[in-house]
Amino acid sequence: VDFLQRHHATARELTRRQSTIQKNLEIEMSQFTDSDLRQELRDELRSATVEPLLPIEKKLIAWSLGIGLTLLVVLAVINHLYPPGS
Amino acid sequence: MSNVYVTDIGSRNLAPHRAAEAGARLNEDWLAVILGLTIFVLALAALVHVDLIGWVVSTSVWSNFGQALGPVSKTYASLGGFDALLATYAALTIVLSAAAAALKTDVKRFALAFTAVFWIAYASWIVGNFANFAAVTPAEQQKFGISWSLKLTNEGAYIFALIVGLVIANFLPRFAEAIKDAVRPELYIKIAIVILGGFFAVTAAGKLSFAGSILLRGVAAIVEAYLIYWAVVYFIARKWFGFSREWSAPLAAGISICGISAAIAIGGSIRARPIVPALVSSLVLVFAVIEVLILPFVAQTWLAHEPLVAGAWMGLAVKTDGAAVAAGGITESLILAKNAAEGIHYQPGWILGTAAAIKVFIDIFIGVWAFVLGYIWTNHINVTPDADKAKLKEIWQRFPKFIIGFVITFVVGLYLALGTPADVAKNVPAAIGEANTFRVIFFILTFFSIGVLSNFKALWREGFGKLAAVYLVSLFGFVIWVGLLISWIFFNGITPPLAS
Repeated sequence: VDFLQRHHATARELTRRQSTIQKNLEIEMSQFTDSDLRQELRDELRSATVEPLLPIEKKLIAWSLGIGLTLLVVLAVINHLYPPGS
Repeated sequence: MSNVYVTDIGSRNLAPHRAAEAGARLNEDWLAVILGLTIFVLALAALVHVDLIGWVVSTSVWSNFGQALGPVSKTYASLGGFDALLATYAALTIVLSAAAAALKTDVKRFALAFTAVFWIAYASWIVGNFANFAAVTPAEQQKFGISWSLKLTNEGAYIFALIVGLVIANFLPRFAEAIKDAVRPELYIKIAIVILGGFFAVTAAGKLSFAGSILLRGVAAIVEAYLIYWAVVYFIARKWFGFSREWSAPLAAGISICGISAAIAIGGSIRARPIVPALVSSLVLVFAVIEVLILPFVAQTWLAHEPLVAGAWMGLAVKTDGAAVAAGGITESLILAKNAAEGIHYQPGWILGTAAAIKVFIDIFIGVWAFVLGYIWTNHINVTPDADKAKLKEIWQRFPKFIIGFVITFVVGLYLALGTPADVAKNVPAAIGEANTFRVIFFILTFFSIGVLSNFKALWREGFGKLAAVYLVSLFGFVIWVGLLISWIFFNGITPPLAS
């Protein structure tokens, strides 16, 4: 504040200027991060090596489908036996 | 792995609010419960002849603008339409600004942004209620003195709010960025769903066993979404498209369960980088918009005589809570109108209620499924140190809390309609009807917000097309049709009660 003209300080222009600079910097940084990040993700999606399905994943898929289809059949039978009255 | 946070990507589209909100005590779910319950309780004051929220604005189908707006209750008839609109705007701005403060968002910026969101969204709603767009029956056309109408119904006006939001997102990106603080479809729809619980209770009260049997059929939706959809989409992403496990699990959750919240919950549970579910979520929104614009009209064309199949289908096929429940609302409106034109008058509320019930049933189990996957991932796939393994308490942490609000309003509404003396019970529908007017406004805000967040350019971004391709193949090649089949199996032949 010492080397600023008094009216600048009293009008809080210092704070305003600083915050504007900071805001612009933040915007630039966030754009940098965002575009960098996007490029990184694009590269990752494009060049990712295929991870083969692990036995545990195959089990998860098979059990999910098995239980799911069985439950649906059971529920469909219940639905058929006990239809709701309109 | 880079250290990336949701806000890095969300600054452009999905979650602009999250950074500041991370330190907030309340999250959107709890705020939705508080705000939804507050509106519900205020509405119930009408039961003791104190009309606290009857001033909320309601829009009718109009050909003369002077007749478009009005307060929902006759008690406030002297207020006039525009003053009711102003009062509604002021009340919502104050209440939601307080919510923004609780979320540690900049209140001034929120209030300014909300002002734009409210007026644009509500203006779209008013335009959508213009008789040439909304009038359905020949009698209505005669009443408004018009010779033609698009017959979109008044709830079809949601589409107008959505389209205006889409225009802003895709042609006015700077403006979209400027109002992002108030673009919160998840908050708005959660508040609406809490209020919807009471409305659904009143609808269900007269046909309790029928409503119960519909709710029980919601179990089929849970089985389908978690055990069948997720497994198939995960397989497609991994085997056909060669995605890694980190990408495939949240992607499958987003497509198969309930969009954004599921993608984020599953991403967290398998310890994926937060950017992964954030990117998936932006895709979810774009495809949800496409579904909302297409499926209700498909349902009206082919499922008009199977109204509950249509409602269940919306709940199963349309992703994200907001889009699904709102699609249920549009579908109800379109189907009721088509049936009314044929002389069949179904009771309103059942198609929307079915769509919402299906969605809520699916939401309840997000935490459980996230725990199951988290357990498998941290113990068998990416074995992590004990401290980072999936824990049972995560089920509660990931539980969508707004469902508690839905259950409370449903139970209270049911009690008031069935367990109170006749002179009290007869006033319950009107009281909850006032709260329901707020529900409609939150739907409008949801539709507009979804539009503003849906930047279609994301689909064409180089490198992300493969993600969109999985979504496209899974959604339109599998999820929608299996959802229709299951809805048909469990709901065909069941029709809503006729209006008395």
